[in-house]
Amino acid sequence: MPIIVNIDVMLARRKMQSKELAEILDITPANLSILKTGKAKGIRFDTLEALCNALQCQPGDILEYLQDESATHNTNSS
Amino acid sequence: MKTVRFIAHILYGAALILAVGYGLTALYSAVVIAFKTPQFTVIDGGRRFAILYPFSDAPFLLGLNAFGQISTMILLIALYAVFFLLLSEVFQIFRADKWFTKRGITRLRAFYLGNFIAPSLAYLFCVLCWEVESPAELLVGLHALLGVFTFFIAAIFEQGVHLQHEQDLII
Repeated sequence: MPIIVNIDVMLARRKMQSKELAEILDITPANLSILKTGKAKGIRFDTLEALCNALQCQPGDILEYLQDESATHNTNSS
Repeated sequence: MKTVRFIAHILYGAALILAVGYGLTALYSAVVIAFKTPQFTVIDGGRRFAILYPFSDAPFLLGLNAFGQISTMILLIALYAVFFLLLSEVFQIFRADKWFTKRGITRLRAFYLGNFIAPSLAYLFCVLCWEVESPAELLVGLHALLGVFTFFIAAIFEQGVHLQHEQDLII
């Protein structure tokens, strides 16, 4: 998926543990793991807001769009 | 949701009681007939039989004294025990907080397969062993209809499980 979740990076920057973040967000560590590994289908605005608040960052610091090569190729050809 | 859960609770209990009742009746009848206990009596000059209530002289089950009829009767009572047991399992789905589960689908599948297969096999057995009474075809048809409805409910549940899974992945 071209959307990369950078929670791990932000956790490292803030020197915070996943378990601690899960407690702040009031979600299970398993769900946080799904989010971190990019297996999630979506993220609620509430969760994003709580994440930004807990990690003191902007949504752009957590989510990153990485254009894959096939998409670039298609855009160029059209 | 509370109303549905409440009704499901009551129906689950009722179906389970009926399942146990039918099961015990089938077991009791089978034991009484197999071991020819004093509770099994032949009446009308050997033409009819009666199974008496335990420790009493009051008749509990009556029928024609023929192997085909006796075996068919016990089979039907036992099958209705299974039917009510499977029905209670269906009601149990609606007692839970989460309805759309794989276990729920398995329960629904068991119920519709039971309603499709068991009445047809029982009907076949009745035809081979004993003359079938007129409402038998109607009962087979009604069970098949129930099976069709449950089949569609199971399909809805399958889609529900899929949607639930998708929903669980939105965090």
